[in-house]
Formats: sequence, C-alpha cells, structure tokens
Amino acid sequence: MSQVFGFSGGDDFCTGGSVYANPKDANIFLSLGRSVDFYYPLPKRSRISVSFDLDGDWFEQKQKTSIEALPDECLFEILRRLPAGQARSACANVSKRWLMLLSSISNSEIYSNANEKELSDKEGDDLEFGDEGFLSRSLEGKKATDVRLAAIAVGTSHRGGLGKLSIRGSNSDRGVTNLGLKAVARGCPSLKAFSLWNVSTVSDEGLIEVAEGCQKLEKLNLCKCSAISDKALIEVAKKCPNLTELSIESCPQIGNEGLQAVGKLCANLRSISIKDCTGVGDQGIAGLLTSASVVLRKVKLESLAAVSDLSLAVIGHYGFSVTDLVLNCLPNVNEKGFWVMANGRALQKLASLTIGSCRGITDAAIVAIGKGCPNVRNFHLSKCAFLSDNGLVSLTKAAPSIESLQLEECHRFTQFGFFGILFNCGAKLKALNVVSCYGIKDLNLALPAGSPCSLTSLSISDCPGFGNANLAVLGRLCPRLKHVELSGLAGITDAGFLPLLESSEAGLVKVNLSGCLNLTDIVVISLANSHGWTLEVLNLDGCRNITDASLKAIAVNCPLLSDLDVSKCAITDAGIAALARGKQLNLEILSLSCCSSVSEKSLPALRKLGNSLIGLNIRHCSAISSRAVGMLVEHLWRCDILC
Amino acid sequence: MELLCIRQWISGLLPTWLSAWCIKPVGGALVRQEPEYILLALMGSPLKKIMLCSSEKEIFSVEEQVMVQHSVIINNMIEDGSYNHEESKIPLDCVDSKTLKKVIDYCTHHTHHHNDNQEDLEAWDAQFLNVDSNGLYDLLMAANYLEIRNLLDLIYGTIKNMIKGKKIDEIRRIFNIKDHGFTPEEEEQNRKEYPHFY
Repeated sequence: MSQVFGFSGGDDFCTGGSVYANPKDANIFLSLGRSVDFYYPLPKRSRISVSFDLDGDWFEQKQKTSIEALPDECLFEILRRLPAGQARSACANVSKRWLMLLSSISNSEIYSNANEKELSDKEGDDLEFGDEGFLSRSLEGKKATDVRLAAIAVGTSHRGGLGKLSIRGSNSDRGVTNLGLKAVARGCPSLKAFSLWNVSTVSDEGLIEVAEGCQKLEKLNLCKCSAISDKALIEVAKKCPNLTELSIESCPQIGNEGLQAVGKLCANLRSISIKDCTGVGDQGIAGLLTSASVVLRKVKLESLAAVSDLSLAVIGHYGFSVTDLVLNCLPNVNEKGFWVMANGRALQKLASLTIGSCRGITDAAIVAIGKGCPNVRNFHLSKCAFLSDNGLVSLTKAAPSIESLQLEECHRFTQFGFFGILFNCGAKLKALNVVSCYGIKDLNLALPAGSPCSLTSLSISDCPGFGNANLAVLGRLCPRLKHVELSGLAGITDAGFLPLLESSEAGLVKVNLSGCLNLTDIVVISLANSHGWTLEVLNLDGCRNITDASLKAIAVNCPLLSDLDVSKCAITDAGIAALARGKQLNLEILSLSCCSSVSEKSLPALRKLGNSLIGLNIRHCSAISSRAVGMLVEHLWRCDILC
Repeated sequence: MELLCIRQWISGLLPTWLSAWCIKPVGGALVRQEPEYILLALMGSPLKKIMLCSSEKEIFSVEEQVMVQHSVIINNMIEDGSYNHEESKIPLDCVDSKTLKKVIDYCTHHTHHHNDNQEDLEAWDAQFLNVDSNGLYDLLMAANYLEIRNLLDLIYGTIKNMIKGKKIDEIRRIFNIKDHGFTPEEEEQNRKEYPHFY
C-alpha cells in the first residue's frame, strides 16, 4: 500500500491532474474521475442560506442578491460605462449611492470604446459633454444638500452644462460639504459663475476642487464662509485665469496673501469687492492694485479696519483703469489718505465715486478729490458727518465733469449749501438727490436771484425741515426739471408746490409726491393741466387728501401716463370709473393698495383698464372680497395682480 | 495493485518506447508520470498545471498558461515565485467552486479559441453569461479579485446594457435595490422633476 501512495506530489488527495486532456470534459464526471484512482468522500459544500419556500420553488435559491452588495469600485466601473445623457441622468435618481458614485466620475473617466460610440450615435443619444454653460441653478437653505448638488452635477452635464451656480445657506442636518463641491467640480467643467453664501461647512478642500475642475470660472462670490482661507484663494488664482469678478464678504480667514496671489495671477480681473474681512489690510490691497493695475475697473472696499491711508495712496497712484470706486466704512483712513489718493493723479478714468461713513472725508478732502479726479460724473456721499456746505459747494464748482450728486445723511448740510449748489452748478449738474439730511431747514431769508441751472432730476426725501419757502426758490432756479421727487416731506403744502409747477418750463415726466400728507387735489389738477402732455409716472402714495377729483383730471389730461400710484388716498369707485372713461389713458401699472373705499363696483372699470394693465396692486383693499379678486384674476390674465 | 493495472492499461495504449518512460524509479519509490506530460514534453510545450483551491476547499487543476494569460493576480504570483508547482496550491477563499469553475471555463475557452472570429467568440460569451443575477455578481467578484480584465469588461458591459434604457423603478426591481437612500422629500422631488424617468 505504501507504494501506492509513494508518488511525487502533495500529500493531499488531489491526483495532481485530470485524466482528461481538456479539463472541461472532467466537469461532468469530476467526482467519478477522482475516484478512478482512489476513493475520497465528496467535500461538504457550504450552502448559501436559503429561505425555504414551500411553494414549489424549493430547489431554487430564493434570496436574490442585490447589486448593492458589489463594492464601490465595481459599481463605479459599471456606471463609468454609461453614456452621458438620459441613461446617466436616470441612474442618478436610482439610489443615493449611485448618485454619489456618478457624481465622482469626471468627464475624462467616462469610458466609451469605438463600437459603443457608433451605436449610441445611431440611437440618437447625446454624447456631447455640454461645454457652453447655459444652465443656471440656485440652491437655498433647506434644499442645499450634497445630494442635490450631485444630482445637479450629473443632470446638467448633458443638457448644455451648468454655467451658474449659487448656494445660499445649507441644510442644518445634511448640508453642503466638500463632497458636494467635489461632485460639482467633476461634473460641471463649464461653470462660469459660482456663489457661496453662508456655508460654513465647506472648507478649502472643496473650493480647491472647484478651482481644479472648473477652470473657466469667471465670477466668484464668497460670503460668510468662515472655513475658507487664503490657501483656497491662491489655488483659485492659479487655476482660473479667466477670473474677472471677485467678491469676498465676511470671510475672516482670507487675508493679504490670497489677494496678492489674485493680483499676480489673474490678469483679467475687472472687479474686486472686499467687505468685512478682518485679515485684509494694506498689503493685500497694494498687492492687488500694483499687479492688476492694467484692467481693474471696479474697486469696492467696505468695512475694513486694517485698511489705512497707504491703501488709498496705492489706489491713487496705480488705479489707472479704475472707473468705479466705492469706499465705505474705513475707520482708519484719514483726510491725508484721501488727499494723497486725489493727488496721485492716476484716477483719471474714474467716473463714479461712492464714499460712505469715512471720517476722513472733510471739506478739504472732497475738494481735492474733485480736482484730482477730473472725470468723475457721479458722486455719492453718505454719512459723511464732517462734510459741510462749504465743501459741497466747492466740490460742485471744482469738479469739471460732475453730473449727479447724491447726499445721504450728511447732517451738516443745510439749505444754504443746497442752494449754494444750485447757484453754482451751472450747466454741469443734472441730478441732485438729497436723502435724510436733517440739517436742511426752510429758508427764512430771501436769496438773490440767480441764473437758472440745468438740473433735470431733483429728489428730496425724508428731510423733515424742507418746506414751502425752499420750494418757491427751487421753482425759480430749476426751470428744466423733468423728474421731481419730494417724498416724506410733510412740511409741503399746495402753496409751496404750485409755484414749482408753474415755473417748470420743460414739462414734468416723473413726479413722486409720496408721503406729502398736506397736498390736495388742487396740486394734482394743476399738474394734470400744465404737465399732462408729458407726465408718465405719478406717485401719490400716502397723500390722504387726494380724492376722485384728481383722478378725473388725470383721466382727461394725461395720455402718456403709464404708472399711477394712489395708495392710501381718499379715492372711491367713482374715481376708478372716471379713470376707465379716459379714452386716451393707457395705464400699465396701477396701485390702489389700502384704499378702503374702493369696492367691487369698480370691477367693470378695472376690467376696462385691464386692457393695457400689466401690474395691479390691490393689497389691503378691504372692500373687495376674495371672490371678486378671483374674478379679476381670471379676467386680467395678462396682468400681474398683487392682492 | 489496482494502480499498476491501470498504468499498464494506459501504457498498453502507448507505443512501447513511450511506456518505458511511464515508470521511473526515483529514490526507491516509484515515480508516476502522467502520460500526457510525456507526450507534451516530446511535443515541446510544457503543460504545467497549477492548482486553484476554492472557498469550499475544492481543488481545480488548470493549465498555467491559461490562467497566467488572463489573471493578473495569478500571473504575479507565479512570476515572483511564490507558487511552487510541485507543492502548493493557490487558495482563493472568496471564490466558490461553481464560480471558479466558470471562470476557468472562460479563461480556457478564450485561450484555446482566441483565433476564432469575433462573432463566434461573442456568441460564446453571451451564452456563457446566461446566468441569474447572483451568478453574475459572483462572477464579477471573482473576476475582480483575480483581475481578469476581459472578463471584467464583458460583465461590466453586460450589466451596463441591462441598465441602459430602463426606467428607474424597473432598474430598482431588476437589481433588487431595496433602500434607495434618499429622504422622502428628495424622492418626491425627483419624481416631480423627472417623471419620465420613473
């Protein structure tokens, strides 16, 4: 017996080879084949657990394994082979796991051999990976999750590509994380505008992925992203040469290094806006402006405590292409900074200047700016507590190109300054806008006659001291007014306003008298009579004393009127009926909110007006029932009704 | 004794000059040589066999050439010398016998028939993959483990074709996906947004 076992080979029972030349033939007789040499018992096969179904399928395996048992790599390979198009989009909705795997496939990894390409072309599948970026998506709040992002990334890829993505806020449980951004980076190579607001769960890694995957990025907007730092910004600067607009707000970890990199590497940068970033200081601004000086057009610096006179000096010396400059709330900038900026002589192309809440703006500073930046057309100065009448009048005199001046909450500005401007502006100033300047009071002395100015647009809002006396002088000084806004001026009465109407030669086009409680029908009737042939927009919101008489006058005299607001006025159904009777009237926007006397009797009139109406506001009209509103909505299907 | 009879029977079938080689005394013991070894040795191609052991401890003997050509894992094992022909077997603990049999099937067919025309091969492949989904997944896992590139591509392509063109509910049923992992709101939104996919 020992001789039988004494052959070369292992001690195991296997014979070391099959009797048959082709092992396949041995399949049938496998157990037999072995026992030709000697006997050994068949090994016990481990059975897969079978749930015994006594229906008769007893011999079949009932438990069907799911595809979910496959490991990620296998599923990835299968999904990778799906052609871009309907199939992929459908699979993105099959299960979350499939969606996340699909979104991690970048377009270079999609596998298609030549045969498949031909076949799917015949089937009409769209294999083209959209690279135009036509689509735009926005996720807000609760809906902003990684799963949605992945779905967007997969779903938009074959339908023209995602061009604009905006994520505002994030779901508190399953919010946006780097994983979601990675999906976007893989699936949306044509992304041009990316906006990330208030997403603190995204860190540098996510933004770096987006920079790598979406190299056509042009606009980037980051707001309240506390986890994003310079590292990510530097990568964006390196990978996205087409970046034209960059806006960063409240990102505490972004600082000078990031900005310097952007300045160095983004040759196409046109617009930069930085707000409330504690890490940004003079070095960053200097780095940005000295390198990118060639094309930077719009610069906005707001709430930056670390910015000092030096930054303004750099802007003044290197801002050759800057056309729009906004400087708000820079507490460490002094008068000297503005003076140096003005005298740097580089801001020759500056057309629009906005300065707010800067204690460095004094009379001398603003005059220096007026002289040093000769092409500024629009000045917007707000909350400049140190600006006084002298400075503003001098500015108006000194700035050669000034066309529009807006003053907001400059409380040292008085009526003398106001008229000083009107006296001295000559042919230049076209628009004057004064908002909430509490220093303005009514004139109590007579002013010398001055030459009329060419002001066409005047707006005075919320200056409680403004009264009739001022209006009278205004009428004389500004005969060419077309747009008048006197809102929230309770001190004005008919007596003051009528002279203004009479002296206006040009023909008023837009009149806004909202909140002027003391004006009555006389004003409106006079307005309709003398300026009816030019009037297009009339706003009488809050003028409690206006009644149907005004509406009758308007209906007859104002053929060009397209926008009428008589909210909170004392008008009734008769007035609306009168409006409807006006044959020439073609109103487009009508606002009757809070008019409690307007009831359902006006419905026929409103229907007639509705032929031309595109917007109707009947909010808080308590006398109109919801049934009537329903009928109105049905009839005026072309009109947008607010109720 | 039986063994000797069988050997004699075989050697009776072979020409006498060949049967002289069948029994070789080596170190006192009788060394048995398989006839086909000798045949092939004479023909010049080494028909070395390797042994694969399934998870159920069943041993399969297969030509080395066949497995080396297809499986990267086995190729690496043999190349770096960790497999000793005389003694060891390759344990494949994650592949069961049924699947291993099929895998060996595939490899041998493709090695021996690689000169056939494309259509015949594709027809054989289609027939080969005519198994239920469990069997398909088992094959896939085995091919993945053994890194058999062309079998993998074949199975991936087959599964891809099963997915392509089907509606989502059907896909979930076919592939037995019980839990899709979306929240109820997400699922509802998906159905609203893409009703034609469901």
